[in-house]
Amino acid sequence: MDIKYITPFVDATRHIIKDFFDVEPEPLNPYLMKRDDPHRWEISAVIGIAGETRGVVVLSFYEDLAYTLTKKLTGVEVDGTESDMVDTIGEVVNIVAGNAKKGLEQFKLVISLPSIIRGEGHHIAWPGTGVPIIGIPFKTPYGEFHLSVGLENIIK
Amino acid sequence: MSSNSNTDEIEKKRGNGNILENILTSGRQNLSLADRARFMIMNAAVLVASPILLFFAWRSFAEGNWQTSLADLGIAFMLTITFLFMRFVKFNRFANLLNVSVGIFYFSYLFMSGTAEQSGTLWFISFCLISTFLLGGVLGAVYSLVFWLVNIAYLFSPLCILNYSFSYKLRIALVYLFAFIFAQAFDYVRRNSQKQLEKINEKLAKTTDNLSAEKNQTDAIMDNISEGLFLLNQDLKVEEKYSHALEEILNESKLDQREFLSIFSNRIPEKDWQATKDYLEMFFTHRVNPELLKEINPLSSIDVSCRSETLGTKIKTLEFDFNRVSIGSENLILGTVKDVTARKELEVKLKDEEIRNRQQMENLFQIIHVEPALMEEFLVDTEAELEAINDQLKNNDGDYTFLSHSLYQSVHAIKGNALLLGLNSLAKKAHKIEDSIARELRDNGTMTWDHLLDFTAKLSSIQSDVIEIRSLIEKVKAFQMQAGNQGRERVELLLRTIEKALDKAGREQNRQAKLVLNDFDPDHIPHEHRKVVKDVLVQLIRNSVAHGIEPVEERQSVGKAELGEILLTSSFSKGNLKICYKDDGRGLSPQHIMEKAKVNEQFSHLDFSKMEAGQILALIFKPGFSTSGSVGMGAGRGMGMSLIKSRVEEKGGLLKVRSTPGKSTSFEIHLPVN
Repeated sequence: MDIKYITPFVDATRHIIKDFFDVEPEPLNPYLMKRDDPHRWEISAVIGIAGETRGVVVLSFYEDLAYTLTKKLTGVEVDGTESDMVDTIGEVVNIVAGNAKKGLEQFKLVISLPSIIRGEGHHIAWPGTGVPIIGIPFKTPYGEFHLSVGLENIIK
Repeated sequence: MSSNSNTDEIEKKRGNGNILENILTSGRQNLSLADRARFMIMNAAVLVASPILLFFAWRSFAEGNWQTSLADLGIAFMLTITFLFMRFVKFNRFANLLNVSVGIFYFSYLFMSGTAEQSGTLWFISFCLISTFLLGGVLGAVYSLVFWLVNIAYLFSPLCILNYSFSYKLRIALVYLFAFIFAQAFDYVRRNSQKQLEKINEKLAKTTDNLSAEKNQTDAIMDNISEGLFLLNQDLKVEEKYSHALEEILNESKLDQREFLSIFSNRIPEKDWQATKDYLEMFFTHRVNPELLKEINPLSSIDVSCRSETLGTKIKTLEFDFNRVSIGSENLILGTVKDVTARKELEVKLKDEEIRNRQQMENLFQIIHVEPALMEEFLVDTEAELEAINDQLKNNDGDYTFLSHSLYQSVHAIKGNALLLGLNSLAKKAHKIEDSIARELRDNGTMTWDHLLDFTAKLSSIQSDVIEIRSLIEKVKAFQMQAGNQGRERVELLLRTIEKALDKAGREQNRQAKLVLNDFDPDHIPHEHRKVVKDVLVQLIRNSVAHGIEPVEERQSVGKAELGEILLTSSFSKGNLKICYKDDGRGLSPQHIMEKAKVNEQFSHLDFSKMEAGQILALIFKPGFSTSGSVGMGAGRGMGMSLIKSRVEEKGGLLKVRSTPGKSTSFEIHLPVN
């Protein structure tokens, strides 16, 4: 995996979270994830990648962070409805994907529309057996979220 | 492209002179040049003469000279008629003829009657001009001459009422001739030059058509060729004519008269740009070897950054080729450019594939050759290192310096282990990671988050390599297990192999035999003996079919069944496997064997008188012995029997032979079973 494929997502995530929610997410150390690594994330957005390389990018959140972000977005102090929260995450990820897309075009990559998956500890079936997955946790004042990138190896 | 507008302009200019031209050509289009001239002259004459005549007519009338006046009016009238005829009447040749015919009489009358102060003389002389120009050619000449003859005849005859002196009359006659000749000559020259002009026009039209067709062809080529073609003049500017593809390849439009080098400024590295400038200038220096030039072309393959609206900047790989050409006395550079980006990308991809494949092969090779225990240990150790690294990463204590050092150590360890096992590509990857960490530590004392991300990404490649090696091992294991399971199926395999051997031998030797299984239980045959049993039986079958089983007629003549029979039995007792093979062919005759042995230099020294039948039979197991007359694919070289005997004995077994001549040959295979 080449970081040139990952950096657009990292940058997009940082910018969007900052612009929309006025919080600068701090990226923690990236690490290698295994396919079956268990996790406790409650809501994930999955973006498919195809082209020069193939794979999946996932943004995962805890629901209370998601609710907090919704509050910040709508300006309403009370917890929104569940569907508001899901919509917010969907929106955010859509924009992240759109931003990342620009940085990826030069590599002849196309991305899919994001899909939202809910449920604590939901299992994401990463593609292929040899596909490496890199996890990047982000820390915000309101909690952590997670960016996972699993892309086919292009040997350089 | 601009030729159309030129025509428009010409037509506009025509418009201004149009009215005058219309009048002068009597509104006729598509006149031949000769006719056109004629019309124009006559109409011009009419336009000029009529007003003058009207003026004279009025003057004469004012002076009371109504005869002269009428004469003038008459002429004016005729001219008008002519004009109108020329304009409106279709067959104006006829009209003209009529007109001039009338004119002949009228003019003659004017002359002969001497009316109007002898102005008839003036009209007399002018007639030849009118006739020549209006009628043209022979007709005009004839009319003029007839007119002259008639009037001169009158002039010099006693009938003439005119009071002219003789010399005056002569003068009139000669002036007319002069005018006539002049008019004829003039008309002749005019016609000729017009004819020539027409011819030239025709030629011009043809040439234009040809050029037009050729230009269309050239344009078709230039528009459709997929390469960029262009010419550079001595100022290194692009000439007007270049192929359409050039604009697409360079992502630039309107290239004519642009400086070639300016197109590339900021799109290729500075030193390449400079080299190109020097290179192109060399083309205009004399004494340059074209072969040499080709070799030093800096643009022979170059990456150029091109702007496109949709994708921002992208890099294209272009191949340029330059050649010196001359057009007339002018020297130019002919340039070709090809867009090979796609091809280059494919090459890169293929190379990557190759590297990947090579790596896989290397891994597989090592898996096979390295002692499994060592390989397992390596895998476990590396996985542990990766786990340790991951744990370090997950532990976000923010101390990147310590982290960097510890990561370096782990990767170094992995590299060392990989090298020990000969997993060179893995070691190389680890080495590269090591290098980049070392560089960071050297330059900055620690790693930044971005470097950490890069490190993790590269490490993931090592992780997948480890996973791949594991999966390869699993595959190899599975293969072996499957192969083991096939022990069961091997049993049926044996029978099938024997049957196939019989079938094949039968077809080759054109003998028929069938296999009869009499208590033959392949299950008795242990796995370890499978191959030797197979080899022996196949060899025996081949021999039976080639030598033992007789042809159908022979069998029938001795009362045997048409189809030969090969009987197989197996038994198993007290740790011994016994397989009996018996064919009902000719059998082995000791006599025959003896005879063959005697002529075989290997065996001829033997004392056959001392040998028992059994010993003689045993000779068939000696290498080089064969009772066959000829060597064929099936049998005959005399090697097969000795080979199978030694194979059986290698396994600790025995191979015995017995025979009833004329009736049967049988073999016994004994093999020990644990």
